[in-house]
Amino acid sequence: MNLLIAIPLVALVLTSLLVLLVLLRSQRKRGQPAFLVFLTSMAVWAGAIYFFRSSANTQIAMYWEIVTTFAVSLMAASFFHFSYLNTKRHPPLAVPVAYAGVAIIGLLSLTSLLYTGVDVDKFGYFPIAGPLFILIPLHNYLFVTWGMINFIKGYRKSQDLNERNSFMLIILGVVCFWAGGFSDLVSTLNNNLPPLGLLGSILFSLLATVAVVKYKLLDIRSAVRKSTAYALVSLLVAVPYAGLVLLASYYLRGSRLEALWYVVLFLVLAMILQPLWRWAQGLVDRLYYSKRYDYLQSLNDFSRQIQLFRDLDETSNRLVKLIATLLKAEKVILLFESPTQKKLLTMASFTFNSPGKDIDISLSSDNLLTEWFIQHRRYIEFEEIDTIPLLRTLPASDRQTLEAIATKYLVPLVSSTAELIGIIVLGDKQGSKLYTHEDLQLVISIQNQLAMSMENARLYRDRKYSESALRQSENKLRFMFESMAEGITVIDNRYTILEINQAAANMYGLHKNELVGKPFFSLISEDCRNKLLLYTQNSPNYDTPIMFECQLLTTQGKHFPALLSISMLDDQTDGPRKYVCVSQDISTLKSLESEQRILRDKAEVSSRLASVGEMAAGIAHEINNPLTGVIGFSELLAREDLPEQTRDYVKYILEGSNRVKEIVRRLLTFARQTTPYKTRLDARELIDNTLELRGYVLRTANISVVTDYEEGLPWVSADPGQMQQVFLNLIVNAEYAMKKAHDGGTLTITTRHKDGQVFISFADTGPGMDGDTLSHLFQPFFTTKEPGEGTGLGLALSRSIVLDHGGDILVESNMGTGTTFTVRLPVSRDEPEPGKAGKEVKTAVRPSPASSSILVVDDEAPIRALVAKILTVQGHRVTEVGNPAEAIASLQADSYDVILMDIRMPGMSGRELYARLNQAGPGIAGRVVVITGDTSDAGTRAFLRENNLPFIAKPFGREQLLEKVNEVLGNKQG
Amino acid sequence: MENIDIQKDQVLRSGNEERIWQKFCGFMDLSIDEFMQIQNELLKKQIDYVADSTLGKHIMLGQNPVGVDNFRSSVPLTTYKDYAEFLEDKNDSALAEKPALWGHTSGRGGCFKWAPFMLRTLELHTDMCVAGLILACTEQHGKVNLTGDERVLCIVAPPPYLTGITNTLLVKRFDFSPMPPPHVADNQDFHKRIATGFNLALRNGTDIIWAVGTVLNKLGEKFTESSSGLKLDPGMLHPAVFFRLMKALIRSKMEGRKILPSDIWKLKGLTCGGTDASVYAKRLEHYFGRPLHQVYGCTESGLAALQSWKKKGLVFHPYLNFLEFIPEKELLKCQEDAGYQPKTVLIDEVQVGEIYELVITNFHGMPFLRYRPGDLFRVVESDEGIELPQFDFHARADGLIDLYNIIRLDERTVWEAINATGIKYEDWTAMKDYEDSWPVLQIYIEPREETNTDTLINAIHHHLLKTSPLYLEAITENEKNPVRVTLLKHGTFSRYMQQQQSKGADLAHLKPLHMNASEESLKHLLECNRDID
Repeated sequence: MNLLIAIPLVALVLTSLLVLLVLLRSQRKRGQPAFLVFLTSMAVWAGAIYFFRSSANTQIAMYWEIVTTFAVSLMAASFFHFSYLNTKRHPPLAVPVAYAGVAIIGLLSLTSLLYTGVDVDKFGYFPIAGPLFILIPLHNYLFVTWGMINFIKGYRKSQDLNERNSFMLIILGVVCFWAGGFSDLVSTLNNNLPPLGLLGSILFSLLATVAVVKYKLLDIRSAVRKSTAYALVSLLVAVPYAGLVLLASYYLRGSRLEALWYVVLFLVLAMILQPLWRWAQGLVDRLYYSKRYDYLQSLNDFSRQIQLFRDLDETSNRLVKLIATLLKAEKVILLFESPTQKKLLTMASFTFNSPGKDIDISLSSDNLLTEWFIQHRRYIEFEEIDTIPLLRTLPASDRQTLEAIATKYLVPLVSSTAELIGIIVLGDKQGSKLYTHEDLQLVISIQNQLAMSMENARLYRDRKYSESALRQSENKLRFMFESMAEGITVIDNRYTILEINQAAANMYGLHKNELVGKPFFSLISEDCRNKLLLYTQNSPNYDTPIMFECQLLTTQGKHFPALLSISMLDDQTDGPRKYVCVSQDISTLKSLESEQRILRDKAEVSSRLASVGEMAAGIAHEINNPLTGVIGFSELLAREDLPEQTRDYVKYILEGSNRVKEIVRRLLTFARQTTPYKTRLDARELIDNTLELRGYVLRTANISVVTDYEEGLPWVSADPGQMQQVFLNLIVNAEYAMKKAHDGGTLTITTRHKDGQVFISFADTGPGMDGDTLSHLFQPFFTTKEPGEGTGLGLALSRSIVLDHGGDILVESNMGTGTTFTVRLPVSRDEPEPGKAGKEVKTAVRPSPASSSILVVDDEAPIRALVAKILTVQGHRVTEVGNPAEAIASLQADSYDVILMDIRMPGMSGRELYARLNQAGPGIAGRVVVITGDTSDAGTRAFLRENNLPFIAKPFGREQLLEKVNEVLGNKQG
Repeated sequence: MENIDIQKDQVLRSGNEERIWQKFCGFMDLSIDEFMQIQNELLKKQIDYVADSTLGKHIMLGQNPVGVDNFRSSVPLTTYKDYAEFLEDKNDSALAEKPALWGHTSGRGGCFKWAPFMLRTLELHTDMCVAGLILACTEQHGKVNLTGDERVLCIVAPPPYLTGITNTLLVKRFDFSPMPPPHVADNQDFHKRIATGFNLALRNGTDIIWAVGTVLNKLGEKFTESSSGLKLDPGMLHPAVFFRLMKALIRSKMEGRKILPSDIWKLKGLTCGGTDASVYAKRLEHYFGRPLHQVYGCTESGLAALQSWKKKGLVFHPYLNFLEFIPEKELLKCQEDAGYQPKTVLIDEVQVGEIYELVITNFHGMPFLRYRPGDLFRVVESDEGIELPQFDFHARADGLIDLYNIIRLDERTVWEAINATGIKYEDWTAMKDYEDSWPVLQIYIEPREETNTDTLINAIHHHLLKTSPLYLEAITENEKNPVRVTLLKHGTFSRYMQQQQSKGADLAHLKPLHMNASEESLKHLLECNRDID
């Protein structure tokens, strides 16, 4: 079998297989029946040619020639029909015309118009062209070419890459068919040339089948490119190799060197083949891609450099620009995952026509698109968002955003940790062209690299942020550590100071640096140390810090009270344990506590005093009334002519009553501290006056008085009466102490002034006082005197008075040496008021006018009787009434020169009675003398002061009564 | 509808089979996990979208639930009456966004149930309609026999019924050429529309028929009945019509049978929806020569489920509604306690063989949340290659007749029982009645031929005994035949329809419901029966 017979057989088998392939694997689409007719007629044609060429005789050959002619014409017509259907165009009338042509050619082939006969040559039988032979090639090439034009139109119109590729394959197939057909035509005209048309047809059907079945298998351009590279290499290798072999066979034939030469050649070939291939590949790439080749090189360089870029912005900007240039994209946008929002934000953008114009879009990242990208890691065409089920959930807003910028592809950048770092949005290709498979292959090849580079840049950025945040956090913590008022000390398990803040350093009195490395035990008391040891060695629960009071030491050895809290420091490392000691200096707190205690004590004292005072006032008033009678009548009795013993008894009664009177007076004074009526006075003068009062007693007690007054002692602002009371009390106490201890001594009175305070000290040479006595000294009713010798109220009262004046009484005492009481008073700020310090002014008693009419109003009968007796003896007419009602009645009935009235009476108070008297007539009010049992009562004093009323305090004596009555009578007369 | 800015589809026309399948039918290839992912994602967006709208606040009781579980536990199940006050007046302002248009369906008592449709919903709904057409035209996974140039005979309700709206939108989005064209069909009544479409199909041929099941059945019946004597009329003189009829006649004669629609048209696909579709499936396949492809949808849900390419169970798609299912046990509890809130399960929790009532929550800003359209489905075995659960439409929830608290007869069961008698009838309606306190199945039927009541009763009774184990059990226990048949005079249903039409009643109210028709409808029907001489 020669080649020209074998080829048709091969073609028959091949096209038959292609028919089966299309039937089984092809998608049922428009045009498939026409394509099947095309392939089948191709198979029939091939088969017919085989049988034609291998026919036993001319008759059979002629028969097969008819079949061949019919089949090839049908092939052309069906291809023509297929071209319309496959390019989705409605077949025009030309299609039935093409089929009609097949029918006509078929009929004509039965005549001798197309072929006059057949002949045989070295290639087998061949047809002899008849007069109308031209119809065959005309019909076939017309419709095949027309079909090819349809595919060219379809190619230009199509927007689908795969479809364009399929059309391109078919067009190429047609070209092969053309070439083969031309060969056949030439062979028909020149019998010496073999007809190779079937080869072209085989290629045609093969390419067309691939286009129909699975055009994605073969990217024609890359196939051509690869083929060119292979061809070039083959040429470069084969030609020199063949040449050297020929040379060797010519010059070295028969010699031993020939075999050696062939071996050497083979080895050389093996060595140079790979580098030669690479060179050829590069040459072809440069040839096919020209500028892009350079860009690919740039991309490789960029990829190398990108590893070095740390700046995310710079990387992004360069990236988008490079991609846009490589792919000739209208626009490229790099979206990056925002670390804070669930969004992909624009990191960089490049628009070819407006390079400076930035596009700023954002997409949500919390959706299935992100998950899909992470799972599949491949780019998608924008249209796929509407076809892939999971992606159809993309929010309408995102869809619209992408649509608005004419998105063509979305390329995900997924990190090695399966995170979507970003998306590259590709717009249309420039010049409204389509992206080719190679473009997309490029995208795939750079996708991973880009992802890695962006991830690195992002990590770098994140690290920078983290470092910055960490630094800020550290600075913040350090600031907080240093600015805390509490001292913080970090120690290790050997109790060495590792860190210490400023507050702690200040507490310990040393610089921080000097304290680091020191043993912590040197700064804490032993008690504190023991507690620390207990915690660090025994405590099972380190979550709970311990806190206790202890004494800390400064480096100068000074103790100070502190509150110490210790806890274990959990720094998440496996190193030795550390502890945090927080110390708080509580000296001030302790001092405040102490002051509070003192104030509490004072308050307690005042409260007790107030209670005592209230009780005392009540008692005093009750006592004064009967006491008035006792003293008054005792005085009257004393004026009678009595036996001596009786006189003595009366004297004892009078003395005892006066003592009671004094006690009651003191009690009242103590109970109802009057608001001091302060005036500016010279303390020295007041002391001297007081000494004058007590001078005789002191002399008789064998006590010498030494005064040491500072020159220019400032005046103080004080109530002279009260202050004198204080000085007197202190002098009396000193006197008692010295008398008891030594039956004499020296009383030293000094005055000093300092810092706005005047200090008046009374120092005795008595026995002194122990601590216990000192601590109770100012408590009311506390006394070291024998019963009956003192009330225990003196010092309490004195201190109370001095405190009211804004001062204090200080005590210093040493056993066996003596005691010093120091009165501290603030210096007066006011101008002096001359002539008022410490002098008591006595009012002279005027002689009584004769026989006045006096009304005595008192609910106490003995008092009425006493007053009546005293006044009657003086010659006055006295009317006694026991209540205010009777008094009013009496006043209405008669007129009186003096009205002596008790301030407190049942039924109506003295105030009210006075008011009534005022109403009765102004003159009556001027004749009133008030008898009161409690002049220390503030209300009573106010009443007396307001109305300028003379008064007699109970218990009163004869002299006092007469003096007051005469005064009123004198005023009346005057 | 002219002003609706709906996006034109580019995928179907591209011819890219893989992409076409992926877009329209790809949901059938989803795994159950992927399905739930889509559902959860869209539900999340829906909740956020409608939470601030007036209607959304009303239905969700002012809450803004987070997550699926929270949504299901905090939002109660709803029916149309929960939406009526907002939707009956077509109140746009109560919605999350302004709808593209409003559509309606028939409610009980002659009133309409209006529903708004958002643009995205309409896009997805029409996509699913195309999916239905693709699946109707293929028996193989991944094979797309639809090019978009097909001739489609559409016999559906006019706008504002959803089917009518869909018809118009298919033209806008996919350049479909339905017969009759929407601009013609929308202005015709139903019968005229059928006639026009039929005539156009005769003249131009048709590749796909999309219609209501009863209409298709009637078409087939009319063919077989009238084709025994082929009467010439002027319409037949059109060459194409004549050619088709002749071809059909020759073929039928050669095969010794009556002309079938399949003799006239070689269909690529036959599709319909409706409760009656499954009843007529076999018959329609016989008439039209193509297996029936069924779909399920309602106005509130859009087209929600489609049979696969194997034309068996319905597969719900995830794009328009979040799907929940009320198990039958929970439904029974509702019957005992009207206030009971039944628990629901999700689609990944349904069990094969069980019956569930569908609950839908719309996506894309549509208003219905946890809405009960009132349809029951049975879960069937999934086809090979489909991981998602598949369903058969079982019955309307209100289309069940309960006897002896054991038997629950649905429309299909009764229909099949009537069909099994072999009687030719115009139409029927059935309800529960009582005889001496015993429940009975009362069927009113208008036969087209002479028949005996007792014969019918026995035939129906025996068919139910044979086909329904529960019926058998109940009858055995009670020893009573509960079937009662009342024969209506010829023309009763026709008279009823005419009177309804003259009253201006809507399409769905032109005849009484097959199951549990209202008292008013029944009374009217019986009056029509009485009025016929």
